[in-house]
Amino acid sequence: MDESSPALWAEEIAGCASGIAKGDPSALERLFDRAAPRLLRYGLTLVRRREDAEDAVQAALVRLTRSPQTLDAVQFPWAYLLRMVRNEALRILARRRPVMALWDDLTGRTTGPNAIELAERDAEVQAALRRLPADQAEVVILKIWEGMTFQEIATVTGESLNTVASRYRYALTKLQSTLRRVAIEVGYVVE
Amino acid sequence: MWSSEQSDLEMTEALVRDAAWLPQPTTVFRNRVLTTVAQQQKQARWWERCQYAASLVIAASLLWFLPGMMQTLQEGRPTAVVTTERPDSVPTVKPWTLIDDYEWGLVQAALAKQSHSAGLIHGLL
Repeated sequence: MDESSPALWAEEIAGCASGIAKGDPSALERLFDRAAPRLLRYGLTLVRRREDAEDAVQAALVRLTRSPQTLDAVQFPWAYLLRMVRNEALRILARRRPVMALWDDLTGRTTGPNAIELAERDAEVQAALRRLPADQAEVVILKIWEGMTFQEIATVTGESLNTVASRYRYALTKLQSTLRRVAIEVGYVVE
Repeated sequence: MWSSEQSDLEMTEALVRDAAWLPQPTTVFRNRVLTTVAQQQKQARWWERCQYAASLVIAASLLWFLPGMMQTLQEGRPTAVVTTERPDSVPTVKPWTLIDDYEWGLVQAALAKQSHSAGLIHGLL
Protein backbone atom coordinates (compact mmCIF):
# COMPACT_ATOMS: atom_id res chain seq x y z
CA MET A 1 0.00 0.00 0.00
CA ASP A 2 1.30 3.41 -0.92
CA GLU A 3 1.86 5.47 2.18
CA SER A 4 2.35 8.85 0.47
CA SER A 5 0.36 11.68 1.97
CA PRO A 6 -2.16 13.29 -0.41
CA ALA A 7 0.01 16.42 -0.72
CA LEU A 8 3.19 14.47 -1.47
CA TRP A 9 1.31 12.25 -3.84
CA ALA A 10 -0.14 15.24 -5.71
CA GLU A 11 3.34 16.72 -5.93
CA GLU A 12 4.74 13.50 -7.33
CA ILE A 13 2.02 13.24 -9.96
CA ALA A 14 2.53 16.90 -10.86
CA GLY A 15 6.23 16.15 -11.37
CA CYS A 16 5.42 13.28 -13.72
CA ALA A 17 2.89 15.48 -15.56
CA SER A 18 5.53 18.15 -16.02
CA GLY A 19 7.97 15.56 -17.38
CA ILE A 20 5.38 14.21 -19.82
CA ALA A 21 4.62 17.73 -21.02
CA LYS A 22 8.34 18.34 -21.62
CA GLY A 23 8.58 15.14 -23.65
CA ASP A 24 10.64 13.19 -21.12
CA PRO A 25 10.23 9.56 -22.29
CA SER A 26 10.77 8.13 -18.80
CA ALA A 27 8.10 10.34 -17.22
CA LEU A 28 5.22 8.18 -18.43
CA GLU A 29 6.95 5.06 -17.18
CA ARG A 30 7.39 6.71 -13.80
CA LEU A 31 3.76 7.75 -13.80
CA PHE A 32 2.68 4.23 -14.67
CA ASP A 33 4.84 2.60 -12.03
CA ARG A 34 3.60 4.95 -9.33
CA ALA A 35 0.00 5.52 -10.26
CA ALA A 36 -1.14 2.39 -12.11
CA PRO A 37 -2.05 0.39 -8.98
CA ARG A 38 -4.23 3.22 -7.66
CA LEU A 39 -5.74 3.91 -11.05
CA LEU A 40 -6.45 0.20 -11.43
CA ARG A 41 -8.09 0.07 -8.02
CA TYR A 42 -10.29 3.02 -8.89
CA GLY A 43 -11.10 1.52 -12.28
CA LEU A 44 -12.01 -1.77 -10.63
CA THR A 45 -14.44 0.03 -8.35
CA LEU A 46 -16.31 1.24 -11.38
CA VAL A 47 -16.12 -1.61 -13.86
CA ARG A 48 -15.53 -4.50 -11.43
CA ARG A 49 -13.56 -6.56 -13.91
CA ARG A 50 -9.82 -6.62 -13.97
CA GLU A 51 -9.54 -6.64 -17.80
CA ASP A 52 -11.95 -3.73 -18.11
CA ALA A 53 -10.12 -1.75 -15.46
CA GLU A 54 -6.83 -2.36 -17.29
CA ASP A 55 -8.43 -1.24 -20.55
CA ALA A 56 -9.69 1.92 -18.88
CA VAL A 57 -6.27 2.75 -17.45
CA GLN A 58 -4.57 2.03 -20.77
CA ALA A 59 -7.05 4.16 -22.71
CA ALA A 60 -6.61 7.03 -20.27
CA LEU A 61 -2.82 6.93 -20.55
CA VAL A 62 -2.94 6.71 -24.34
CA ARG A 63 -5.30 9.68 -24.39
CA LEU A 64 -2.88 11.51 -22.13
CA THR A 65 0.00 11.03 -24.57
CA ARG A 66 -2.10 12.54 -27.36
CA SER A 67 -2.27 15.83 -25.47
CA PRO A 68 0.65 15.69 -23.05
CA GLN A 69 0.35 19.35 -22.01
CA THR A 70 -3.12 18.92 -20.54
CA LEU A 71 -2.18 17.12 -17.33
CA ASP A 72 0.51 19.68 -16.58
CA ALA A 73 -1.87 22.57 -17.14
CA VAL A 74 -4.66 21.48 -14.79
CA GLN A 75 -4.84 22.51 -11.15
CA PHE A 76 -5.24 19.00 -9.71
CA PRO A 77 -3.39 16.53 -11.97
CA TRP A 78 -4.24 13.50 -9.84
CA ALA A 79 -7.95 14.32 -9.79
CA TYR A 80 -7.77 14.93 -13.54
CA LEU A 81 -6.08 11.57 -14.11
CA LEU A 82 -8.73 9.80 -12.04
CA ARG A 83 -11.39 11.58 -14.02
CA MET A 84 -9.80 10.38 -17.26
CA VAL A 85 -9.90 6.80 -16.00
CA ARG A 86 -13.48 7.32 -14.88
CA ASN A 87 -14.51 8.57 -18.32
CA GLU A 88 -12.86 5.59 -19.97
CA ALA A 89 -14.47 3.22 -17.48
CA LEU A 90 -17.88 4.70 -18.22
CA ARG A 91 -17.23 4.28 -21.95
CA ILE A 92 -16.38 0.63 -21.36
CA LEU A 93 -19.49 0.15 -19.25
CA ALA A 94 -21.58 1.72 -21.97
CA ARG A 95 -20.11 -0.72 -24.52
CA ARG A 96 -20.29 -3.82 -22.39
CA ARG A 97 -22.89 -5.06 -20.06
CA PRO A 98 -21.50 -4.72 -16.56
CA VAL A 99 -20.64 -8.09 -15.12
CA MET A 100 -20.23 -8.61 -11.43
CA ALA A 101 -16.92 -10.34 -11.06
CA LEU A 102 -14.49 -10.79 -8.27
CA TRP A 103 -12.11 -8.00 -7.47
CA ASP A 104 -8.51 -8.90 -7.10
CA ASP A 105 -7.88 -11.49 -4.48
CA LEU A 106 -5.78 -10.63 -1.52
CA THR A 107 -3.38 -13.53 -1.78
CA GLY A 108 0.04 -12.78 -0.39
CA ARG A 109 -0.86 -9.27 0.61
CA THR A 110 -0.60 -9.65 4.32
CA THR A 111 2.14 -11.18 6.36
CA GLY A 112 2.71 -11.72 10.05
CA PRO A 113 1.12 -13.74 12.81
CA ASN A 114 -2.43 -12.47 12.37
CA ALA A 115 -2.22 -12.42 8.57
CA ILE A 116 -5.18 -14.71 8.10
CA GLU A 117 -7.35 -12.67 10.41
CA LEU A 118 -6.39 -9.45 8.59
CA ALA A 119 -6.90 -11.07 5.20
CA GLU A 120 -10.37 -12.10 6.30
CA ARG A 121 -11.09 -8.58 7.50
CA ASP A 122 -9.90 -7.13 4.20
CA ALA A 123 -11.94 -9.64 2.25
CA GLU A 124 -15.02 -8.71 4.26
CA VAL A 125 -14.44 -5.01 3.63
CA GLN A 126 -13.93 -5.66 -0.06
CA ALA A 127 -17.08 -7.71 -0.21
CA ALA A 128 -19.00 -4.97 1.58
CA LEU A 129 -17.67 -2.36 -0.84
CA ARG A 130 -18.57 -4.60 -3.76
CA ARG A 131 -22.14 -4.76 -2.55
CA LEU A 132 -22.42 -0.96 -2.57
CA PRO A 133 -23.67 0.81 -5.69
CA ALA A 134 -20.65 1.78 -7.81
CA ASP A 135 -21.26 5.53 -7.39
CA GLN A 136 -21.19 5.15 -3.58
CA ALA A 137 -18.22 2.78 -3.56
CA GLU A 138 -16.19 5.17 -5.68
CA VAL A 139 -16.79 8.04 -3.25
CA VAL A 140 -15.70 5.87 -0.32
CA ILE A 141 -12.53 4.82 -2.11
CA LEU A 142 -11.66 8.33 -3.21
CA LYS A 143 -12.33 9.70 0.26
CA ILE A 144 -10.77 7.05 2.46
CA TRP A 145 -8.13 5.39 0.30
CA GLU A 146 -7.15 8.31 -1.89
CA GLY A 147 -7.53 10.86 0.94
CA MET A 148 -9.33 13.33 -1.28
CA THR A 149 -11.57 16.14 -0.07
CA PHE A 150 -15.23 16.24 -1.08
CA GLN A 151 -14.38 19.15 -3.36
CA GLU A 152 -11.75 17.09 -5.17
CA ILE A 153 -14.10 14.11 -5.39
CA ALA A 154 -16.75 16.39 -6.89
CA THR A 155 -14.17 17.43 -9.49
CA VAL A 156 -13.46 13.81 -10.35
CA THR A 157 -17.06 12.62 -10.49
CA GLY A 158 -18.57 15.77 -11.94
CA GLU A 159 -21.24 15.77 -9.24
CA SER A 160 -22.14 18.52 -6.80
CA LEU A 161 -20.52 18.74 -3.40
CA ASN A 162 -23.80 17.88 -1.67
CA THR A 163 -24.36 14.81 -3.82
CA VAL A 164 -20.86 13.54 -3.09
CA ALA A 165 -21.25 14.12 0.65
CA SER A 166 -24.65 12.39 0.70
CA ARG A 167 -23.31 9.39 -1.19
CA TYR A 168 -20.48 9.09 1.27
CA ARG A 169 -22.84 9.26 4.21
CA TYR A 170 -25.20 6.64 2.70
CA ALA A 171 -22.29 4.38 1.87
CA LEU A 172 -20.80 4.58 5.35
CA THR A 173 -24.15 3.89 6.96
CA LYS A 174 -24.52 0.76 4.83
CA LEU A 175 -20.94 -0.30 5.51
CA GLN A 176 -21.42 0.29 9.19
CA SER A 177 -24.27 -2.20 9.40
CA THR A 178 -22.48 -4.70 7.16
CA LEU A 179 -19.12 -4.52 8.88
CA ARG A 180 -20.19 -4.30 12.51
CA ARG A 181 -19.55 -7.99 13.10
CA VAL A 182 -16.09 -7.72 11.51
CA ALA A 183 -15.29 -4.64 13.58
CA ILE A 184 -16.10 -6.51 16.77
CA GLU A 185 -14.15 -9.59 15.70
CA VAL A 186 -11.04 -7.66 14.75
CA GLY A 187 -11.29 -5.51 17.87
CA TYR A 188 -12.21 -2.17 16.38
CA VAL A 189 -15.21 -1.89 18.60
CA VAL A 190 -15.99 -3.12 22.12
CA GLU A 191 -19.39 -4.62 22.64
CA MET B 1 -9.00 -0.32 19.91
CA TRP B 2 -12.21 1.65 19.53
CA SER B 3 -14.42 2.31 22.46
CA SER B 4 -18.19 2.49 22.23
CA GLU B 5 -17.94 6.22 22.85
CA GLN B 6 -16.40 6.79 19.46
CA SER B 7 -18.77 7.19 16.62
CA ASP B 8 -19.67 4.15 14.60
CA LEU B 9 -19.01 6.03 11.40
CA GLU B 10 -15.44 6.77 12.44
CA MET B 11 -15.01 3.11 13.28
CA THR B 12 -16.27 2.14 9.85
CA GLU B 13 -13.95 4.66 8.22
CA ALA B 14 -10.98 3.25 10.15
CA LEU B 15 -11.92 -0.30 9.24
CA VAL B 16 -12.13 0.54 5.56
CA ARG B 17 -8.92 2.58 5.72
CA ASP B 18 -6.97 -0.28 7.26
CA ALA B 19 -8.31 -2.69 4.67
CA ALA B 20 -6.90 -0.60 1.82
CA TRP B 21 -5.36 -2.68 -0.90
CA LEU B 22 -3.73 -2.06 -4.24
CA PRO B 23 -3.94 -4.34 -7.24
CA GLN B 24 -0.45 -4.71 -8.67
CA PRO B 25 -0.29 -4.34 -12.43
CA THR B 26 1.15 -7.36 -14.18
CA THR B 27 4.27 -7.09 -16.30
CA VAL B 28 2.22 -8.03 -19.36
CA PHE B 29 -0.16 -5.15 -18.70
CA ARG B 30 2.73 -2.74 -18.07
CA ASN B 31 4.46 -3.72 -21.30
CA ARG B 32 1.22 -3.52 -23.25
CA VAL B 33 0.45 -0.01 -22.03
CA LEU B 34 3.96 1.32 -22.54
CA THR B 35 4.20 -0.23 -26.01
CA THR B 36 0.84 1.21 -27.05
CA VAL B 37 1.79 4.61 -25.71
CA ALA B 38 5.15 4.50 -27.52
CA GLN B 39 3.38 3.60 -30.78
CA GLN B 40 0.93 6.45 -30.31
CA GLN B 41 3.77 8.87 -29.64
CA LYS B 42 5.58 7.66 -32.75
CA GLN B 43 2.46 8.15 -34.85
CA ALA B 44 1.91 11.59 -33.35
CA ARG B 45 5.50 12.60 -34.16
CA TRP B 46 5.14 11.31 -37.73
CA TRP B 47 1.93 13.27 -38.16
CA GLU B 48 3.59 16.41 -36.76
CA ARG B 49 6.43 16.00 -39.27
CA CYS B 50 3.89 15.66 -42.11
CA GLN B 51 2.15 18.83 -41.01
CA TYR B 52 5.50 20.63 -40.76
CA ALA B 53 6.50 19.48 -44.25
CA ALA B 54 3.14 20.55 -45.69
CA SER B 55 3.52 23.97 -44.07
CA LEU B 56 6.99 24.33 -45.57
CA VAL B 57 5.73 23.43 -49.05
CA ILE B 58 2.90 25.96 -48.81
CA ALA B 59 5.24 28.67 -47.52
CA ALA B 60 7.81 27.95 -50.25
CA SER B 61 5.11 28.03 -52.93
CA LEU B 62 3.89 31.39 -51.72
CA LEU B 63 7.41 32.81 -51.62
CA TRP B 64 8.12 31.48 -55.08
CA PHE B 65 4.98 32.65 -56.84
CA LEU B 66 3.93 35.70 -54.88
CA PRO B 67 6.63 38.19 -56.06
CA GLY B 68 5.98 37.35 -59.71
CA MET B 69 2.25 37.66 -59.26
CA MET B 70 2.62 41.02 -57.51
CA GLN B 71 4.89 42.32 -60.25
CA THR B 72 2.40 41.27 -62.92
CA LEU B 73 -0.41 43.02 -61.08
CA GLN B 74 1.64 46.21 -60.68
CA GLU B 75 2.54 46.29 -64.37
CA GLY B 76 -1.09 45.83 -65.29
CA ARG B 77 -0.28 42.94 -67.50
CA PRO B 78 -3.01 40.39 -67.76
CA THR B 79 -2.02 37.00 -66.63
CA ALA B 80 -1.32 34.46 -69.31
CA VAL B 81 -4.43 32.69 -70.50
CA VAL B 82 -4.35 29.46 -72.39
CA THR B 83 -6.67 29.56 -75.41
CA THR B 84 -7.50 27.29 -78.30
CA GLU B 85 -8.30 30.27 -80.58
CA ARG B 86 -6.17 30.50 -83.70
CA PRO B 87 -4.77 33.85 -85.00
CA ASP B 88 -6.71 33.70 -88.26
CA SER B 89 -10.00 33.35 -86.42
CA VAL B 90 -9.48 36.60 -84.46
CA PRO B 91 -11.63 39.44 -85.96
CA THR B 92 -9.59 42.11 -87.76
CA VAL B 93 -10.08 45.93 -87.42
CA LYS B 94 -12.23 47.43 -90.20
CA PRO B 95 -11.49 50.88 -91.66
CA TRP B 96 -13.34 53.86 -90.08
CA THR B 97 -16.44 54.95 -92.11
CA LEU B 98 -18.74 57.98 -92.13
CA ILE B 99 -21.40 55.98 -90.36
CA ASP B 100 -18.92 55.32 -87.61
CA ASP B 101 -18.27 59.10 -87.39
CA TYR B 102 -21.97 59.78 -87.06
CA GLU B 103 -22.45 57.14 -84.36
CA TRP B 104 -19.39 58.39 -82.51
CA GLY B 105 -20.94 61.89 -82.52
CA LEU B 106 -24.15 60.50 -81.02
CA VAL B 107 -22.21 58.75 -78.28
CA GLN B 108 -20.27 61.92 -77.45
CA ALA B 109 -23.49 63.95 -77.29
CA ALA B 110 -25.12 61.39 -74.97
CA LEU B 111 -22.07 61.36 -72.72
CA ALA B 112 -21.98 65.18 -72.58
CA LYS B 113 -25.66 65.29 -71.63
CA GLN B 114 -25.16 62.65 -68.95
CA SER B 115 -22.18 64.52 -67.59
CA HIS B 116 -24.17 67.79 -67.46
CA SER B 117 -27.05 66.04 -65.58
CA ALA B 118 -24.62 64.44 -63.18
CA GLY B 119 -23.06 67.85 -62.52
CA LEU B 120 -26.46 69.34 -61.76
CA ILE B 121 -27.37 66.54 -59.36
CA HIS B 122 -23.98 66.80 -57.70
CA GLY B 123 -24.51 70.55 -57.28
CA LEU B 124 -27.92 69.99 -55.69
CA LEU B 125 -26.47 67.50 -53.24
